[in-house]
Amino acid sequence: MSKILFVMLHPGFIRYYEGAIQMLAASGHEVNLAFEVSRDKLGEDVTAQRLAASAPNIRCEPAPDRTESVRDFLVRSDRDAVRTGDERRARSDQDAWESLATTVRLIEDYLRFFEPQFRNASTLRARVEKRLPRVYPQLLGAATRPAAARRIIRAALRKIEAIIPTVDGIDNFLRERNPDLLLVTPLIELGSQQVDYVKSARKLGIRSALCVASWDNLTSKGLIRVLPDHVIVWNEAQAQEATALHGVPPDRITVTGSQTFDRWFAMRPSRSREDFCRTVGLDPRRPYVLYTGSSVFIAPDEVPFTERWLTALRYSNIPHVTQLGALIRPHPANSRQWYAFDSAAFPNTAIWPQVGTDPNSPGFKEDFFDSVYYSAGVVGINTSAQIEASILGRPIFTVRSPEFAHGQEGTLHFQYLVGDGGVVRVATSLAEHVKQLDSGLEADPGRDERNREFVRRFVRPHGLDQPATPIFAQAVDAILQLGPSAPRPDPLWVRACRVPGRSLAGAALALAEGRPGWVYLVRQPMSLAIQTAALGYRLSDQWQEHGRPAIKRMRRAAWRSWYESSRWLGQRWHRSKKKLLRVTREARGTARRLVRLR
Amino acid sequence: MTINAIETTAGGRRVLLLRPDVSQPVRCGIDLVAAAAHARETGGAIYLLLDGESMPVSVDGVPVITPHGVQRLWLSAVWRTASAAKDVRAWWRHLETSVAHEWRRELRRHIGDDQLPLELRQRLRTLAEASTRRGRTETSAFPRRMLRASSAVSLLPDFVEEARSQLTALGITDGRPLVTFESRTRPDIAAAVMELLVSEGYAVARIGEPADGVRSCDGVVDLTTSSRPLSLEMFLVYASAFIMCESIDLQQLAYLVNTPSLVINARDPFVAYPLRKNGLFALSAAIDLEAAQPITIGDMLTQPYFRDLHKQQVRGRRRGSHGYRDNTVEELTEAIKEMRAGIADGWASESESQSRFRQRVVEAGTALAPISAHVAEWGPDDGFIGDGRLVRFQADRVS
Repeated sequence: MSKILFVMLHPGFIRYYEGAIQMLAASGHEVNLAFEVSRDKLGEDVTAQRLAASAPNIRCEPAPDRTESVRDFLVRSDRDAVRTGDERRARSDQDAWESLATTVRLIEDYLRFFEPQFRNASTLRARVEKRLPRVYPQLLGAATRPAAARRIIRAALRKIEAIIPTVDGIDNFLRERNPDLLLVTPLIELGSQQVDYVKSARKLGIRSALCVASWDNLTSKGLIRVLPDHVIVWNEAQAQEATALHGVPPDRITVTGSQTFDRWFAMRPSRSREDFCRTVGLDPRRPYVLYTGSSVFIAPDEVPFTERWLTALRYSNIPHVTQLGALIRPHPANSRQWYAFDSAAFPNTAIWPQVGTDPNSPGFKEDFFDSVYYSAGVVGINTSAQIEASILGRPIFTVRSPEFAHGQEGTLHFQYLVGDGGVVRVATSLAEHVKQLDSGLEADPGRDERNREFVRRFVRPHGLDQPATPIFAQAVDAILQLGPSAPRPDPLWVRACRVPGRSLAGAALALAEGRPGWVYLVRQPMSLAIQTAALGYRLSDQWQEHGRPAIKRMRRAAWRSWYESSRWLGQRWHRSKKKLLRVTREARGTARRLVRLR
Repeated sequence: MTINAIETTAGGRRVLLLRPDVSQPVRCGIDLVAAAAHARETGGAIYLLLDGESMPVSVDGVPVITPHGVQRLWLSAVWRTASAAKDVRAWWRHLETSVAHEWRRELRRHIGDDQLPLELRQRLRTLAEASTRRGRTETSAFPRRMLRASSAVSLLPDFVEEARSQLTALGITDGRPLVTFESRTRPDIAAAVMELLVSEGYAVARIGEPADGVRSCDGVVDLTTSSRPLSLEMFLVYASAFIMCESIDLQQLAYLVNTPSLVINARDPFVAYPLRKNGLFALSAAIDLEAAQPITIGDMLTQPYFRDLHKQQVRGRRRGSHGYRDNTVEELTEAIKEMRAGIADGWASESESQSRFRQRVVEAGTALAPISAHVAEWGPDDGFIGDGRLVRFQADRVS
């Protein structure tokens, strides 16, 4: 059986592939999961542990450490961050190359959002711009506007990407694990470092595949900068995105459907409607609409809108709508803001699950399923919960609101919900939305058919009764059957370009800090001055520690020797004097005696 | 002086030059009121350099002159020169701040190097701190003291006449006392408050951003959807018995025309603190989203709270550590009651808790001003925060 190495950005991506990984493991493959960054915000590490415990041939481990992660890169360019001790850390060549890689990838991602398809995506563009050191948007300036200029810049960036060497740590990691297939996800994060895995795999002759995890991955994030051998997508729409927006040749693309939604086809409610309504705090006698919260990017401040939405419902002149229950389901990664929501202020309204509930807690998924299953309709700004609602055939609604324009019109994936063939009814005001709720909650065979068609096209392109997980596993098997690809070492010109490329990398490393030019000019003289001052301090310390005590000792010794010698001389003198006096006295006595005798 | 005016001499006497920017009427109004207070103190006059239409106001006790001919040319030149000098100073200050900031960052790179002798690192730290002090941006404080006294600004009769007829055309007549209501609050609360005001005998003019979902009722004129000149908005505030608002601009417009103001859903006790006795404000209920706990009003006077507020407002962080709940209908009913009682008795009495709260705000502002530019701008002006009040039910809770 084969060895599969699945590199994920963090363990949160397991939820998209859990079933598929278990299926691959069950068919005897050894599946090794490596995470670039650890994350436990929503208990993702628990998911990883659970998955590893589910089969002996599934292993989870951290990916090799990077000397210069994208996070470091971003922190270094944060003008307001105050850090100490940067000077001590010697920057290696590897740091410089990684900085250059992140810079090149971020610039490419930035340029992407100037393409005509993204004319409404100013917030997506701003998101990349915020990550780039300020000097680059300034340098690029007007060159981002003409398509030809963008093409030239992009071609140059691709050449620079080609000369960036693979990371030794990743090469060694791949050699040690020696996988038959490298799977990566998501690869399209802004400035992603996963590209280096694809590059290393190409160099070592390991077949690689990108697994597109979610429906917005190919349109709202970065580019696939280095093409893997295969790209596994959900549906034809994503296949077209991969080709048109990322330049992936169609023969490398495999459409499997969305394995992440498979359980929605198999699940059944975990309790009766009455029990459910009683548990969440809604009146079981009334139908309810489910408001599904969106992610932070789409709806950073969703509570005021929801309050307006609830007011519109409660005070509408349509009794059927006024009496609807309202169940609010915060987005698990954007739930904190809901602490400020006072559900008691609105009758027959509840938040479920409670804010802060661990998404890994038992029953979390069942609760979500029950919430959608028993709802009369689902409302949301722009969220994958609307796809889940379509699977269960619920009427789905959204309201265009200026504060969410960036997350609705400003994203391409929103069009799948509301454009041709979409299943979400759009209102341009709450008044219109209320009317839609009035007419749209009743059974409607036409709507059911539209929902089915959408799900068939978007979620299960191989047929509504064909789960995507086995198709994904088969696709992986099929790729494994192809055997290893031929190693593609770097051509000679690439290796030759690395010599001048090193200075470029050094410049990228320095510029990543986003500091004004004069800082780089004064840095060396300043370091020199500080080192000189340090030398002075050290000499002074040495003087204090050794020189001064030595002088003191010498002075004391000199004093002592002078004192001793003078004392000795004094004594000698005193003794001699005494002796002389005695001799003189005796001589004088003798003389007197002689005179007397005479 | 922290207002946008230039002090000079003209015709042998001291004058204050003002060039009102009509695109910022509130700022103009504040400048005018503060300049009038200053001119009254110094016995000077105010010269207005108007580019377009005249300001529809007059100031009692202070000559307001619109210069013409050579004098205008001369004063315009003085204004331009002084403005240019101000811009250069601001540019230089910005440069100095930027250099100091970068210098500090460079020093800090070395401070953490434990290979360097301790004394040198301490010396570098001292240098970095000195650089921080040098780099601190100068903030022009909101001139609370200058605006303290009720302004003697009145609207010109022609303008009043014209504005009144415009309001009549919009459906606002002189029959009932008027309340101008501006709010981004929850639509159900806004509707309930407007209904309450109408039931109390007021006519309500709703202004501000049009909000989806707010229902209207009899006696409420919704001006959110119709475009109107800002001068008309000024008259609306002038003609109101009191205003209820969320925006500070409107509160300041009320200072200009001496209309009592009630600021609701305030998040920042310094910004919202009313200058004059006829001002009230009610704070939102702030929730600490990390701890999932409401915080006290006392906590809203601390550095961590302002750091978070600053991050949200100035640095554009999309989510802060605090969420807010709007004032409830009951709270606003209480506040309206207090406002009406205040207007009726001339704001004569003030509770002990109110004085204590004011003292607390002054103390907190004085302590925070050196470390927070925001508090330095909006906090106490030489120990004076304002003669207004926090709504009683909140003030009693603080103490």
